[in-house]
Amino acid sequence: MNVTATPLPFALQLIRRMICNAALMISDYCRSPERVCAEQRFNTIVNEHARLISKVCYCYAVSRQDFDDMRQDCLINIWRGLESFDGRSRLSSWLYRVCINTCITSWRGKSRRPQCFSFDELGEMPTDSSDDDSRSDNVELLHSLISSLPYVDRAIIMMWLDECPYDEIAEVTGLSKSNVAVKIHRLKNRMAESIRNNNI
Amino acid sequence: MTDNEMRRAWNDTDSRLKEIETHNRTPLDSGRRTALANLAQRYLKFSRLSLIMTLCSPCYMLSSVFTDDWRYIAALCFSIYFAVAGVMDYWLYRGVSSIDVGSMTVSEVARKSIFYRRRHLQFIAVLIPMAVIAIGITAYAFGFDRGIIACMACGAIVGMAIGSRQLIAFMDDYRTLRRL
Repeated sequence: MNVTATPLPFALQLIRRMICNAALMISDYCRSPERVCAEQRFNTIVNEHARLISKVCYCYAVSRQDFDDMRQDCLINIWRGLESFDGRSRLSSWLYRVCINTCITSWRGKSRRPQCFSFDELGEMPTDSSDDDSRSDNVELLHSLISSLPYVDRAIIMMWLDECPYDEIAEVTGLSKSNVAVKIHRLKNRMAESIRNNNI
Repeated sequence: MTDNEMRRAWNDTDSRLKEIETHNRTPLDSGRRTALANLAQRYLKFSRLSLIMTLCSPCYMLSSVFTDDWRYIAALCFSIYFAVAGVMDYWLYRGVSSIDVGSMTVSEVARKSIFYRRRHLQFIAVLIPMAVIAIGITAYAFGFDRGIIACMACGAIVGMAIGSRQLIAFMDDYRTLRRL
């Protein structure tokens, strides 16, 4: 009887020891200086560029849920990609690239849902004066105009609005500098025409 | 809207997002898989499932409900169907996995992303007629038994109800992709 009962506890002990060792290794890694340093770096970058991330997500999302999902995906890709970021390009360029690419790859057949959503869906916003109403209209109008553009054009106009130099826009989008200039000119005309025709 | 008005509206967006950031900050969920990784995993899962089904399809040959010739034809039809579906899914998995959001340019990612989504929809368009043919052959192989035909008719009604809704969504997606 004892002969058949012995191997099972031994196997269980072995498995338990292996699990304990794995848990110790994970906890050691979590407390390692490299990990702490990487976390600090990530937190600093995310805090400094939080609005860049949110703005990109806001321009690509079609609902509040979508916005949250895209933001989380962006943060994960930034966290994973930070190690391989070599600093050859500007940090803001790299963040734009990661966030825009993440939002583009997150899109999944949402054409039947509204193309853009209002700030009210994002959260409770305090309004101070009557002037805010017209400004708010402009914000919503600009958002709907950007949301009606194709993927790459959205990225170009966003970066132009953020006053990024043409070199940086060209680097992120993969277009030539002259092509970026032409595209920006055309996009502005197209947006102005959309406003005139109320074709949004 | 002039350039200055656009930039002002954009700065307003900036300040409003800042307020939202302070009110509704969500922490990073480190255990989460991104939408792209999820999609790649789904393709891989389906390609593995199709491979298993391709290998299992010859079991039709052992079935006693078919007459001699039809058991081979049905087995062959389903094997081909699942093999094609598996190859398509694996090809999509490889393609989607090759997208690197950290190093590729936006144009490249957008081009690849649209390309694979379009292929996904085109593959569906190929697989649906193949499935209809395979099921039709199975129905014929059963010798139009009344019970079987009644069951298949029920299945077809439910399938058409679900399928028509999916078809509209599918066409919408395809139309949207052509605009992007």
